[in-house]
Amino acid sequence: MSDTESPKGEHRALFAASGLVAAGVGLGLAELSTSVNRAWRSPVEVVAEVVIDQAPSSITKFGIEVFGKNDKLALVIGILVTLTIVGVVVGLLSRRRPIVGDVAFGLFAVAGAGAALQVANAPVSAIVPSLVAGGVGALVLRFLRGRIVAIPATKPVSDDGSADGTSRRTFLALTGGLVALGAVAAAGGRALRDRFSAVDSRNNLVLPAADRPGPTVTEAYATDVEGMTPFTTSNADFYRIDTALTVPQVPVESWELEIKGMVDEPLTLTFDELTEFGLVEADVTMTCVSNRVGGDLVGNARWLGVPLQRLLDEVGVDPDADQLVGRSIDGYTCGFPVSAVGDGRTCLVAVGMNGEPLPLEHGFPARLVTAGLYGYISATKWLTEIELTTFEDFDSYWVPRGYADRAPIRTQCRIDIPRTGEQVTAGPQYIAGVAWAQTKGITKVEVKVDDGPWQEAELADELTDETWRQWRIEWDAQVGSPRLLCRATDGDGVLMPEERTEPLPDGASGWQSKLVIVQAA
Amino acid sequence: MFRSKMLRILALVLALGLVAAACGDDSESSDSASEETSAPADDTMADDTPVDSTTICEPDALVEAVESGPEDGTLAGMTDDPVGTAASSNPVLTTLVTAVTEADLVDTLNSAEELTVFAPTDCAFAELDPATLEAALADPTGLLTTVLGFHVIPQRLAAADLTDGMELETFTGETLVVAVDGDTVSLNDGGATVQVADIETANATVHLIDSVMIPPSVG
Repeated sequence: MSDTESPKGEHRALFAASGLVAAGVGLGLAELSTSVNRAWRSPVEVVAEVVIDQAPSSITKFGIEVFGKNDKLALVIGILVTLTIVGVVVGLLSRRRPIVGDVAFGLFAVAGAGAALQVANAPVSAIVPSLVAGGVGALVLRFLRGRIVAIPATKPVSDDGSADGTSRRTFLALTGGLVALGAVAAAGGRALRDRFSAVDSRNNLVLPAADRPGPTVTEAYATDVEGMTPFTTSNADFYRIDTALTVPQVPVESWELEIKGMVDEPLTLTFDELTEFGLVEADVTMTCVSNRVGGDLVGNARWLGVPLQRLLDEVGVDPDADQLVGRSIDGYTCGFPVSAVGDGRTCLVAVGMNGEPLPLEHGFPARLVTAGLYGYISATKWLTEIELTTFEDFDSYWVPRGYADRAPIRTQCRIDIPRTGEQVTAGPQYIAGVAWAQTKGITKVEVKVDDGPWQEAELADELTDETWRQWRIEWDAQVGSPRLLCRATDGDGVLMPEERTEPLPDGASGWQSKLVIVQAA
Repeated sequence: MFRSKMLRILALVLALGLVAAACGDDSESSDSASEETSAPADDTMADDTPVDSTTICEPDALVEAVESGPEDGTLAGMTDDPVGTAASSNPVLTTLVTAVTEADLVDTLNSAEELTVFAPTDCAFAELDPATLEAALADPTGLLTTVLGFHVIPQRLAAADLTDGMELETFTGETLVVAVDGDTVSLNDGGATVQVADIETANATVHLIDSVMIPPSVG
């Protein structure tokens, strides 16, 4: 038992634990501090967002592929695990040099603060939670270190083993108390932050009526086949694809839309000022670029909003501006040609969906909706900024990640009935489905069974050329395993190509083929 | 010595953290970065490990080959894609993918809501009687479809859901009998054994099996 192995050497495990506890308490109190101000976010969350935003696309794709739909959760857990490991290491290192703990927590604070400032629209005060995490962590570590140092050595054998046993137990009780404190603070902070939730704001919002209501949607637009997909997709069933780590909570009372860039007079509007431009209703079928042939990343809804043209007229757009960029509260951007706004298609700052304010996960309180373009390029949710710029000067979010900067929706045809894998009994019945070619409309749908001829399907009425069109065809199903194919022709008379393309870079196309097993009645 | 080394490691870890937080936008859009791969298996085969996948037959070797292959085809990498697309990236399912494409079943598999696929590996296809395989490939919409359809169940079943004696109705309407003995799951009266279970894709649970099963209707 050498004296150079000082009492501190005996307690490596305690030092490791103290580093971890200090980090935990620091983070817990940081979470509590986030409840003070809506803009003060959890350091773990903002670091996660910055990592996702700044990481090379190959790494984000790796994350999506390894963890699937839980990729964002996995990243947060990964950050917490990393902090755990680093906390242990820092605790051990501060055994001999307490300054290490100060420096390490100082660096944590700086990293967290840096990440907090990267968040779009973050005020300078957003660094506070990170400073709390670092400062509290450093102080707790110093404090615990002091307690450990005060524990007498266990070697040589002391005749009163219970004395240092008590000190160790006291220390462990102390750390237990601190861990509990950190946990309660974190939980409390999260609970208190609920008051920043936009749920109440949305529930209290009454939207003005449209001064141009949409056409009445009657059954004429739906094809009458049992079990068929509804013509209007309900909000609950509407597909959701976005990059948001957590659903942004943007209460409408404090929301503002800034229109800036290559304009004569930049403009900032509150929600009421926006709706004063007048609201119109438009039914638009939206499609995700990731939608595969026969896929379900497509939906039709009635949108209520302000025509973008009215806003652009108000600010005056520089003729050299060719791209309109929509920026979300979380920094996501879409970008599409300015010319699309004035060419007659529906192009809205939408505030309502199917008769209610936009659901939180669908962009409350405002989003862009542009008919005929894939969502990623044209439909920013949680909209806060519209910027007029050029394609040369600015790439919207998915463009550097390999997707096209111009992305009109490709014509598609989909067989909905019979549903894949369902029992089909021989005999007369319908094959039914939908087809879409937004801004052109669908003029013909044809269906083929195995090697039979292409036969024209019966189309339901067309509501507008910006919605999908339902169709059905009579079919006398024979026992066997036939393949059903469908293809559509758009309003310009162009038949959709048979050739397969993949979603990357600008949408999937091809004639859908569906195997059906028909059994005897 | 130990101390300063630890300090250096700590500094590196923290520096990496800062770099991750602060590094600029990576705008080198890589041409090879593709979310999905196209259906023909040949494209992905060219990128893959040079090992002949028909020699990868044991469960551990299968998992290793899958995990070291292209990202889209790793066990967890397939979770976001519908099964037809997911399988096309998997390095040990290349023959199956060719067969599914020949039989024109990719759309159907991709459009189903919930499926279970018992997927014969390349090793399994290599062990199939060549005459049978040839006959099947020569009749893509008939025999091949019947054989492949026998491997697909129109509901999602995990290995834990399979019980001894269970009768499953396949996509093609035939009956597939399951036998469970301890940890071993076998199908079709011992015709095939599950080697790697519970691979999740967006719309299907895939279990790798060691033989191509011949349906009763084909005999």
